[in-house]
Amino acid sequence: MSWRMQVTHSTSFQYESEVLASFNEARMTPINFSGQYLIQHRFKVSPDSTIFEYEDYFETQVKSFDVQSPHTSLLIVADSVVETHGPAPEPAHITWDVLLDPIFIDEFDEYLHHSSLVDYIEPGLNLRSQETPLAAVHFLNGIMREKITYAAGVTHVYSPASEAWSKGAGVCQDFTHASLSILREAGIPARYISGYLYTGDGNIGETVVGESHSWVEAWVGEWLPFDPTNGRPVAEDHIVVAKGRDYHDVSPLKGIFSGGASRKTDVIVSLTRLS
Amino acid sequence: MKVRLPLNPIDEYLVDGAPRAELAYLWETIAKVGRDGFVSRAKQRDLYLSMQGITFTLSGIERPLPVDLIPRVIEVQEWQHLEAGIKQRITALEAFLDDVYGEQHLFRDGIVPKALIQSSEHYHRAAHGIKPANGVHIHVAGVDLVRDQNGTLRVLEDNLRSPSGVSYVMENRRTMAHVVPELFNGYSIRSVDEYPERLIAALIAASPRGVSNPNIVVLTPGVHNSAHFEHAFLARRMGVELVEGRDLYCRNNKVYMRTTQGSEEIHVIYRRIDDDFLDPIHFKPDSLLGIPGVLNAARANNVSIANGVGNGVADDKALYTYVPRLIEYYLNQKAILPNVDSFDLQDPDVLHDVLSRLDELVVKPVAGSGGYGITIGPKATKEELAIVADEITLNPRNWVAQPLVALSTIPTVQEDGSLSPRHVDLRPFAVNDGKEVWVLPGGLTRVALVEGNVVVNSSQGGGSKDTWVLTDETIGERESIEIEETDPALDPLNLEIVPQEIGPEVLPPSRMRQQEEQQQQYHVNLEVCHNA
Repeated sequence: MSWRMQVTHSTSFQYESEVLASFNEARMTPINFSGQYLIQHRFKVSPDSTIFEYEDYFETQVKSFDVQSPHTSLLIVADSVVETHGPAPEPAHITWDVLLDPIFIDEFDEYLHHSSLVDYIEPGLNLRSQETPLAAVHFLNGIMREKITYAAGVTHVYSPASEAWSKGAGVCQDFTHASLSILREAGIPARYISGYLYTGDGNIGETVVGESHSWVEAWVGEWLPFDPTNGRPVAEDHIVVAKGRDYHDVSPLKGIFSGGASRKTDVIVSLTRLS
Repeated sequence: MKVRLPLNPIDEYLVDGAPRAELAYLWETIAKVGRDGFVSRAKQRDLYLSMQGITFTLSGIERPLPVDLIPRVIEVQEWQHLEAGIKQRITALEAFLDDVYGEQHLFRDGIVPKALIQSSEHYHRAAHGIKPANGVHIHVAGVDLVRDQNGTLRVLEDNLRSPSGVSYVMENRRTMAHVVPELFNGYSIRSVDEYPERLIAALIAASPRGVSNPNIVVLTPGVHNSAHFEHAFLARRMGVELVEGRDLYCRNNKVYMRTTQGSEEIHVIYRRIDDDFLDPIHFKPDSLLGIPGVLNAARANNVSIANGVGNGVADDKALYTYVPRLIEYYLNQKAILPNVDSFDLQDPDVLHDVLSRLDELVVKPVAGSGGYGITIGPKATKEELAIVADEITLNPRNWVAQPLVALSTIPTVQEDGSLSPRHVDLRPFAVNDGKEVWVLPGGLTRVALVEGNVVVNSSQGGGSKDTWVLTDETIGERESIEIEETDPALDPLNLEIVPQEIGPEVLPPSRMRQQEEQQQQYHVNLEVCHNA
């Protein structure tokens, strides 16, 4: 089954005093791949600005822009219409031996290392005791919500996996980083996926408040996505925007500015199922 | 306890106490200057250098970079060999950078482990997709070479980011011509003054497409940088502005310079600041030295950044081992200049072997530069070696081990005016304009001023030598004018030769033969060379 969805991602910054110059990069454009097709995309910045687009190392569409007229607020709106397809069939089973092959390890090197955000955690569970890497991924996806409770405000955007793990609480980013840490420790290549999740009842034409979301892809013969925050597979209600090693590679908006301090940031993601 | 190096270095001037044939006339001139002469000339030199404002900061203290008054002399044939080797190496490393930040065929073909590249701290994913207008990443290179105990010149390190020292090459020549002009008598030497012209031509060639009359700047981190003198020197000699990050800004993916008459678009930035500080959007967000947006301005082909962003992956010490393979892979040629052997510590067997004989090896941190953090096995204490062994075991990727090389020596003026052999290395500079890799004849010879010090590096208190590349003329005219042979044992400067360190037995046979042939047709060109 396939869905058609509209997603509107608006980010607004309010500053205490005038900002004289600001330089930004947005990663908010859904990608095209076999499971997803981008039908329409609009990207607007206010104050008005010229947008420069490029594809980065991780094949994410990046919108880069600067604002050099004095401003006290900045509004960024990314509006997309996307067709998503149902979950891909599960990859054929591979055995643990495949993951020990030095050629394989070299090929997936960048998705096998810990990083500042995906740091080492003592998981207290042994993925290697599962029969296959695929079984290990299913096991992990089933158990993460017992280890971390979803709670906003406990962690922040640059919290490492270990922090959420020891606090036993966090948001989707923390579920993702912790899962990546455990998978990589077990020798399973794993990457960070950022995107959107539709959370409504599926009524066509009804707009619901959704969220920026993140989940995991693990390599078990092919890349297999799963959503540890919800403990379920990835399906039509997930929209993929960016892939990377951790949050640093995919952050939806990063920028610097000179002038007044930031007072308030609002992010609103709304999704409408069109068909 | 005095620890002696187990290898005997060769001396580049003297064989068995006598000067090499082409140096005999120079050696005679040196003798005429005499010990007292060198003491007073050294004073003249110091005065000259401080008047010219030629300084180098060592641990925060500004002082003149001492140019030793005895030059290094490179013969025509050896220079041709070096030049060809450097051109080959830079051409291969250019192809490597293009590949690694592009299609990455080398991984598919199994030439270099992907992990080696991806774990390099200088591999910048943000540089992917930046296509230099004329295809050049390495606009300027400095290749460090040493001559080993067998007389073979070997590459020690490639410097492809912001190699410094070229201003000293030019200033050393000028200083020598001013302070010891008579040493040039009888020698025809290739000029080093062409460098700024070559560099500006390469920068113009690197202009973004469609720009015919580019505005070019030299970007410096500021006056506190140890190489600031050179940044100012190059800007002045090229006739372009010397700027700091705050003088430039980006708007709509174009780079502008603030001037008293408003803004001016900049097309080429010869930057002497590290990648990490270049653009706070992609690298260190707290950098005040760089220009926010400059990376995407380069990506949009509105500005060219020289040297290219991410070049460090090609001069990483761990990649160094693979450079001969890269030359074969990209050029289908054998490397003309050999590396110093180095051991792959990521191989467990090699690691085990290296750890068992650390006391006879040199180990260096991969990320380090400037001679700090190098451990020289025979000179280290047991405690120091134990610490290094622990660190290597913990993270072999971060270390390189090499056999000890006895660096060649050249007689060097001491405080009392006498001569004493001191270890040297050589950093020739290459400029790539996209059509040709040009190598500045000579380069910076760095000399360890402390006796027995085998790390020669200007950030460790070394000095330098004027480096002469002889022309064909020197040889040609030498044949036409005969003079009397001089006494090879002539040594009024009391050259302190340490016999066990400089013996004729360390010369390879081929070199000995060449030596004999040249002595039979011994002539000296008496024409004074006005090269400076």
